[in-house]
Amino acid sequence: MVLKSAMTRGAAAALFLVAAVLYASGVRAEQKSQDQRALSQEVYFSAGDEPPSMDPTKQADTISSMWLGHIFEGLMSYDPAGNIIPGTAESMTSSEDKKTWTFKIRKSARWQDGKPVKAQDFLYSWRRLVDPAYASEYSFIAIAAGILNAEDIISKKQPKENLGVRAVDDHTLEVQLSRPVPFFDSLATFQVFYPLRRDIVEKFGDKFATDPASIIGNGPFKLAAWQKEQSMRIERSPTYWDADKVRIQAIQSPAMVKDSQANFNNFQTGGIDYTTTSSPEIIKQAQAAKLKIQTFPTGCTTYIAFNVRPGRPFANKLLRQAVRDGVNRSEFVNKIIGVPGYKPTLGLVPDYMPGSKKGMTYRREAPVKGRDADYPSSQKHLQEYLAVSKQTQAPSFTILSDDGTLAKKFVEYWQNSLAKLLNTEVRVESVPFKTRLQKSRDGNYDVTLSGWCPDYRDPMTFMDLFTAGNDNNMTGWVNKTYEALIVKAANESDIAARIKLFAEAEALLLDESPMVPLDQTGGAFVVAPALKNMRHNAFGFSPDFRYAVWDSQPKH
Amino acid sequence: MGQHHQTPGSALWGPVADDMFSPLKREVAAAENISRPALTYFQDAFMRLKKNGLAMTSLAVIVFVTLAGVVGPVFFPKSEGGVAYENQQNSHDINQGPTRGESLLIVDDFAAVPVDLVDPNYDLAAPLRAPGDLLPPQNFRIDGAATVDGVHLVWDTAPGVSGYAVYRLLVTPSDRIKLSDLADGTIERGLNIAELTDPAQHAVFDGMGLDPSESYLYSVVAFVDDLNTGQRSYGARAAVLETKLINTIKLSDAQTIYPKAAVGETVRGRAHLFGTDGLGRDVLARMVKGTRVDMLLALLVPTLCIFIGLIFGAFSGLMGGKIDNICMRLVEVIDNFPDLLVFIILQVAIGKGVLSLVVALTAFSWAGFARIVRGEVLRMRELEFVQASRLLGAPIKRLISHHIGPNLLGLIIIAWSARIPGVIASEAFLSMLGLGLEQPTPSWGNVVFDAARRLQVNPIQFFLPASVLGITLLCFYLLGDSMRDAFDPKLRGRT
Amino acid sequence: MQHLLSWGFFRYVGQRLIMAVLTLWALATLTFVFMRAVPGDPLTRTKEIPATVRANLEEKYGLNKPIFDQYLIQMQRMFIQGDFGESFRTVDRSVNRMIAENFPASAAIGIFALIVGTTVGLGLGIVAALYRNSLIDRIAMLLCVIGIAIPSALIAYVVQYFLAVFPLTHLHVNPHVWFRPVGWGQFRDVILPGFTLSLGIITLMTRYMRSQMVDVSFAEFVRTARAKGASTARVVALHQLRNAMLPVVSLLGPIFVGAISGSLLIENIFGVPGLGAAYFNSISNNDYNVLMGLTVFYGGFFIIINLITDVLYGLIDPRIRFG
Repeated sequence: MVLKSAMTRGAAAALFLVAAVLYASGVRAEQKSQDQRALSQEVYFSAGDEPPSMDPTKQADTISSMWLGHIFEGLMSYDPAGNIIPGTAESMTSSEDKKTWTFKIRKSARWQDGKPVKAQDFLYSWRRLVDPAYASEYSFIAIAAGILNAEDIISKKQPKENLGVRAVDDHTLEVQLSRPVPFFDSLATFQVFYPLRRDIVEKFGDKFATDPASIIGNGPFKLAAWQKEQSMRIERSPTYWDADKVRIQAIQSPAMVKDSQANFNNFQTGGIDYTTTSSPEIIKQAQAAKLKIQTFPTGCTTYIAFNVRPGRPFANKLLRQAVRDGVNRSEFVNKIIGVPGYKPTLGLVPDYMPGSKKGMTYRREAPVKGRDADYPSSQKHLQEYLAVSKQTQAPSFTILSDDGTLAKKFVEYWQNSLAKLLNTEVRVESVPFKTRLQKSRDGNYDVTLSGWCPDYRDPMTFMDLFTAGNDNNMTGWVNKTYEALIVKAANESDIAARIKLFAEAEALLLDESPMVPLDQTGGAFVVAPALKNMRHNAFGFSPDFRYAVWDSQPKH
Repeated sequence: MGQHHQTPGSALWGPVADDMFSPLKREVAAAENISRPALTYFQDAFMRLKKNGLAMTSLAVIVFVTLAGVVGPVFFPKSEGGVAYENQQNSHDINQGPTRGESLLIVDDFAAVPVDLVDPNYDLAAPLRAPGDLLPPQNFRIDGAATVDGVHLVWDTAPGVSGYAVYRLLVTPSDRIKLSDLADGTIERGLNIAELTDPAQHAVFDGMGLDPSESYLYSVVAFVDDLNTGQRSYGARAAVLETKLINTIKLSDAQTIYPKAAVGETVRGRAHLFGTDGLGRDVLARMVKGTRVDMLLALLVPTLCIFIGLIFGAFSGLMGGKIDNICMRLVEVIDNFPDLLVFIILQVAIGKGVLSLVVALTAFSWAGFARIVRGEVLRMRELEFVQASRLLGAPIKRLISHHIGPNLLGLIIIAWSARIPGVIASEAFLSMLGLGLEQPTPSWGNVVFDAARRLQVNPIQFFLPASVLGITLLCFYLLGDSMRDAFDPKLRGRT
Repeated sequence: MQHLLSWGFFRYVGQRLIMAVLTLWALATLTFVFMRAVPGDPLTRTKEIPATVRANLEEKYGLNKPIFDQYLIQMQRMFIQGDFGESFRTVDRSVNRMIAENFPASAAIGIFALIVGTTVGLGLGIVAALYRNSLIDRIAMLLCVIGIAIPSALIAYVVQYFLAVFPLTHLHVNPHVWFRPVGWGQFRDVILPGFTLSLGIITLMTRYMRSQMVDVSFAEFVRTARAKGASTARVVALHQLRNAMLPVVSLLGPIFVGAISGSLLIENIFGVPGLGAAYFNSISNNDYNVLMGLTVFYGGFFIIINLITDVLYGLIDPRIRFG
C-alpha cells in the first residue's frame, strides 16, 4: 500500500533525524562500569546542576565551588578532617594585631601549563575581585575580610591599585587589613581568593572559563571536558605540587540531575558512585537497601524570624519568648524534616564553629541556656503577655513563606503547631521565592521562616546579621547594647575575648528573640563501599574527592 | 395517542367482567398521524445516552465522587481548635500506609528530650590508643522506653579515644542478620546517626525519622583521630543492640478521640484507609475534601475555555480574510505566552484561591481550542449543505445554529472532556510549584503529587489516591465519548 | 499542484512572514511588561547584595537605565542583531549559546515522542474507529486514559523505576544494553523520556483520529466508493484516511512545538540536558534575558510551524487555494 510505505519511509527519516540531532547535541561519551572505574581510580557522581560560572571570581555557589575547589587551590586549604592547612602557600604569618598577614608561596607550586605560581597571580585576581568595572557579586567578601581600601574601591572612591595587597617578591604576598581579622586564614581558602593568570584571562576575555581550553588552574585536577547542562569531567593534574598524594585519576559527572530520586536510582544501578540522599523518602529506601548512610552539616541555621516593628503582632517580646520556649524543635527535625544530618538547635551559631582552643568549639565554650519544647515556660510568657496587653487571646498572624515543596510542608507544620501553642488563628501566605525575599526585606510580614548560611568560618558571619546596618536584618530589631558588643568583637584581636563577647551578644539576642533558632541544616549521602575518604564538611567545597581512593573492587 | 382505560383497583386475575372492556374512541386525526412524538435534539441525545451502559456507569461514578466531595466531610471527626479534620496533623502517624488503627501509648505533649550525658571525670589528656587497640564500648543499652519519638542510647566511656560513631540499621522480619556480623562490620552498619567528637559524651538520642512498623539494630564504635593528618580510624568491633519501637500518641491528640485519656494508657488510634501524608494527615479525608475544588475546576475551566474558543474560532473562521489572519496571530501570541509568568502575576495581583486558578487556567488555554474550531469551520463552510444554505440566503446566525454548530458539537464535547484531565493535571503541576491553592487547603493535585514521592517506598500510598484520580478521569472520558456519539446527528441510529 | 508556484502563493507566504515578525514583536512586548511586573529583579538574592556592589552590577547589566530604554535596547538587540543577551544565572553563557547547546536534546526527545505518539496514536485511532465498541476500542481508550489521567511527571517516576531500575537491581539484566535510569549521549537514552513524553500525544491523537474516522465513515463519498465496489482497504486508505487526517494535521504543529519545548520534570528526572529547566529557572530567578529569549525562540518556532501547517493543509486539501 502506498500510504503504508510512505509512513514507513517517514518514520525512518524521522528516526534518522533523532539520531542526527543526538549526534549534534554532542557527547557519545564512553561510560565505564563501576568495576572499571575502581580499577582506573575514577569517580562518577551527579553534580546536580550546571555550574553557573567557572570563573572563580564571579560566583561562589556550591556547584561551581565544588569543581573549582578541585581545579584551583587557594593560599590555604582543608585537610580531610576539615582543619585549615597550608595550600599554595607553604607558610602564613600574621602580625600581633592580626592586621598584617604574610603568605610565603611554595616554590614548587605550578600552573597546569607548567609555569610557576607567583604572588602577582594572587594580586591580579584580588584586584579583579574588587574592580567595579568587573562587578563581581562576591566582592563584598573583600569588605568582610577587611582588606584595606576594598570598600572604597568597590564604591569607586579609589583605584583598584590601592587595594591593601602587595607582592613583595614572586613568592611573598602581604595583605594589609583595616581591622583585626583572626579568621583570615579560613578566608584564604575561599574560591574568590584563588590566583588567576593575567595572560589567560586577558587572552580569552569574555570566553574566559567557558571551556577546558580557557581554564588553567593550579589545583590537583584540570578540567578535561564540559558539555553544558550535561556532563563534566576533571582529570588529575601532574603539575600539582602535591600530585603524589592524589590517588583519584578522574572525577566525572555523567549527568547533571537535580532530582534526588533519579540520582538515587542511578546510584543503585551503578551509574554513579556517590549521591546525596537528602529526603526522608530516599533515606527510607537507602535504609531498606542496607546501605551505609553518612551525614554531614551543610552549615546553615534555620530560624523563625519575627517582624518586631511597632504595630506587628510580635512587637511584644513576651509573645516572642512564648514561641521561643514552646516550639518543639526535635519533633520538627526528626519527624517533619526527617533528614539525618539536620540537628535541632537553641542557638544561632552552629555547632561546628571553632572555639578559642584547638579541638574546642564555640558552642561548648558558650552553651545556650534553656531547653527545647519547654511548654510551662512558654505558657508563663503567654499568660504574662495577656496580662500586660489586657487581652484574652494572642493576636492572629500570618506566616510568610515561599512556595518550594519543602517550604510548603514546613510552613504547614508551623501553622498548625504555633496555632496550638498560642491558641490563636494562624494563616499562611506563600508566594514565589523572590517575592518572599522582597516582602521580607520591605518589612511587609508578621512571621517568616528564614535562615542564614555562613560566608566565612567565624561566629561573626552569623552575629552581625542582627545589627541595624545589615541589609539582611529583616526583623527591624535594633539594640544598642548588641551593636556595641558586635563592634567591640570586630576590633578584638584576642580570640578568647572575642568568643566571650559573642557569647554575651548571642545570649542577649536569644533573650530578646527577634528570631527563634530551629535547626542546623545538614544532609546525608551514600557512597560505593570501596570508595574511601570522601570529605563532606560544612566549610570548604563539598563533596571533596582530593583525598579519596578506591580501596578494592566494589562489592556485588 | 390513544387512550388507555383501566379500572382502578380491579384484580388482574379475577373473573373477566364486561365492564373491563370498552371500545376505543375513534379519532380520525390520530389514525392519520404517522410520526413518533417529536423529540427535540437534546431529548433524542439523552435517550441514546441512556441506552449506553458504560456512559451511565461513568456518570454514576462522577455523581458519586462529586457527592462524596460535597457530603463526605460531614462524616469526618469534628474539627479541633478550628482545624478541620483533613488538616489535623499527627506526629505519631507520619507517612504511614493504610491502617485500621494501631495501638498507641499516650505520652506527654511536651516530654523533655533527654540531654546528652557527659562524663565530668573523663580524662581528656589521656594518650590516644592505636586504632587496632580500640575496644567496642561497654554496657551499650537503651535508657527508658524505645518509642517512635526517640531512643536514648547510653554506653560507658573508655579512655584514649577521640569519640564515638553511632549507627542504625533497619531490619525487616525476613532479614537474617547475625548480630556478630554487624559487630564485626562484615555487613554495613547502616545510617550513621552521630559522630560524637567529644569522647566524654557517652549517650545519644536518636529520633530521626523512626518508623513504628520497623525494628532497628543499633551499633556504636569508638574512633581515634590523627591530629596531624586529620585521618579518622574506627575500631574494628562495635557494640550492638536490637530494638522494636513502641508507637505513641500525644495526650492532646489522644484526647480528641478519647476525651478521658491519660498519659501512660494504651489506646487504639484512628483508622486511615488511605494512609497518612508527611505531616500525619489523613489522605482519604484530604482526597474527599479536595474533590470540591477539583470538580469545580474540572467542570468550569473547560467550559469557559470552550466558550471563548468557540466564539473566537467560529468568528475567525467565518469572517475569513484579514480578520481571520489577525485573529490567528492573536491566538499565536496567547499560545506562546509564558503562562507560569501569568500565574505568578495573578497570585501577586489577586492572591491565591479558586478564582485565581480558574482565571489562570482559562486565560491562556482557550487558544488551542480556538484554532481547532476555526479549522473545522473553514472545512465545514465549504461543505455542500452549508454552501447550499448560504446560496439560499441563510443569515450567518442560522448557519452557525443549524449547520455548523451541531456538526461541531462532537468535536466540542471531545475537546471538553479531553481538557478535564489536563485541568486536573495543571492544577497538580501548579500545586507542586506552589502556585495552587492557599495552604493547607487540599486538592487532588497536591495530595497525589505529595504521594508520588512514596512510590518507591510504599507504592500503595501512591496508587490509592492516584487510582481515585485515574478512575474519575476515566469516567469523564468515557462519558465524553458517549456524549459525543449521542450528540452527533450523523451517528443517529447507528450506534 | 500548480497553485504552489502561483503569485498568490508567494504573496500569501510573504504576508504571513511579515505578520510573523509583528506577532513576535507583540509577544515580546507583552512578555516584557509581565516580566517586569513580577516583584524582585535578577539581582534579588537570598543574601542581599550590598548596595555598592549592586550599583556596579546594575550598571554592568544596564538595569539602572529607565525601563523604556531597557525595552528599546532589548528589542533592538533581539530583532535587529539577533542576540538574546546573557543569562543572569549562568553568567558566562549567552542565551544564543544556551539554545544552540541545549535545544538539540529537548528536540531529540520531542521528535522521538512525536514520531511514536503520532504513529501509535493514529494507528490506535484508526483501529479503534474501524472496530468501534469492540474490545480493541476499549483497550485503546483505557491506554489513552492512563496516558493522560496521571500527570507525566508521575509517569516518569513509574517508567524510570519499572523500566530502568527494577530490571537492573532485581532481574540483573545487562546494564550495557538495557535502559539507564539517568544518562545522555546514546540512542537508548532517548527512549524512556521520549516514551513518557509521547503518552500525551498518543492520547490526543487516538481520540481525534478515532473521532474523525467515525465521522468520515458515514460521509457520502465513502458510501459511494463502497457502492462502487471498492475494497474496504482501499476505501479506508484512499478515502477515509485522507479526509480524516485533515483536522489532525492542524493539530500537529502545536503538538510538535509542545513536544520539543522541553519538559521541566521529564528532563530533570531522566537527566536530559535540554532547555526545560532553563525555562523554568528563568521564571523563578527573574532571569529576564533567558525568559525573553526562550519565549521569542519558541514563539518564532511555533509561528513558522503554523505557517508550514497551513501550507501543508492547502496541499492535502485541494479545496483550499492560496491567494
